[in-house]
Amino acid sequence: MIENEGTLYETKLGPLPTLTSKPTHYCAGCEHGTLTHLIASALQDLGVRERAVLVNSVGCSVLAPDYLNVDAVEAPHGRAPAVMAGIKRARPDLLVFSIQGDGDAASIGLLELMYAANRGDPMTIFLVNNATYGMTGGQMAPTTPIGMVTTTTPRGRDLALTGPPIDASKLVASFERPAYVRRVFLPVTPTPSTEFFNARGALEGALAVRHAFEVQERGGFAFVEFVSTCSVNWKMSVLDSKRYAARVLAPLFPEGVLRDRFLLESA
Amino acid sequence: MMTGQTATPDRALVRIDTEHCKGCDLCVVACPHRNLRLSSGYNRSGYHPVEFHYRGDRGECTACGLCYWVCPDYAITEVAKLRP
Repeated sequence: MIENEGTLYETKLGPLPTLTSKPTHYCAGCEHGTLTHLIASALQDLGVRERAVLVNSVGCSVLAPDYLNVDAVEAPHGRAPAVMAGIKRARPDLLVFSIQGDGDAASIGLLELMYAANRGDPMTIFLVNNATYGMTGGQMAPTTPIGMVTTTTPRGRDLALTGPPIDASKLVASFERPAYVRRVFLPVTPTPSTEFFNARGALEGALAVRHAFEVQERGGFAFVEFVSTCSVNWKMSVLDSKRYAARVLAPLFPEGVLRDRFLLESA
Repeated sequence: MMTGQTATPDRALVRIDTEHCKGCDLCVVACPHRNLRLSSGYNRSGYHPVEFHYRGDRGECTACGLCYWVCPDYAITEVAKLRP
C-alpha cells in the first residue's frame, strides 16, 4: 500500500524479503541481476527460503550469496553439482540450487555437471551463458560463437583451431536421468521496425526458475540455461549487446524445452 | 488552489530506488508506453538514474510490471495500482 498525494495505491509487485538491500556488483544491464531477481521471486512465491541452499560458483556469480537471503556454500571452479549432490544426500529436506556461468559449468566443471546429470540427483542448476569469461576480462569460453572477437581470439574464434561452441543444454539432455532441461533467451530482444525491446525473456525465465524448483521437490534433476549478454567484455553498449545476442546467440543456442519429464510446461 | 494535483488521480505508480539504478536503459526500452526515462541528474554512484513520468509518449502507465521484471538491479522496487 502506497499513499501518493492523498490517493491510496495497491502494491501489485513489491520489494522481496528474499533479496538483501546490497547493490549488486554486476555491470549495468547484466542478466545476472535479472536472474537473481527471478530466483528471489520464485523462492518467495514457493515459500522455500528457509530450506534453500545456494551452492555458488566462480565467476561473476561468485557474489550471488550477498544478494540472496539464503544459506550458501562456496564450491568454486565448477564443483557445485558435486557439493549439491552431497548436501542433498545428507539432508534430503533441503532445496539446493546453483548459479553457474558458462566458464564454470561448461568448461572447468563440465565433468561434475555431466556426472550429476548422469546420476540424476535431485538438484537445480542455473547456467548463465554469456559466451565469454566475464570476470577475468573476456577470454574465449567454450560457448563463444565462431568469429567472435575476444581477448584470446583477437581475429575471431577459429573453427579449425578451437572447434565449434559447446551446447551445454543438449549435452545434459543427452543423458537419460535429467527430468527438466530448458534453455531461455533472457535478454530483452529488439522488435523489428520499432525502437521497442521485447521483455518476454524475463517472463519466460520466471516460469522456468519456478519449474526448476518444483522439479527438484518431486525428486528430479533440473537444468536451466539462460542465454545472456556481457556488454562490457563484448565491448558494446548495453542495447547493442542485446541486438548482437538476438542476431548471433539466439540462432546458435535456440530456446526451448529439451526435456520435461513431469509435464510442467504443458500443465 | 492546490498545485500539482490532477483532476483524476493516476491509475498506476512505479517506485524507483535511484541509488540502486545503473542507468542501463533496459526498462526505458522495455516499457510499452515510454513512461520511464533517464533523468539528467546523477545518483551517488555517478549514473543517470531512471525516473518515472506517468503519461509517457504513448499512453499512461498500466502497472504491467515489465520494468520490474527486466531490471537487473531490482531498482524498480514497487509497482502499484490505484485502489478500486
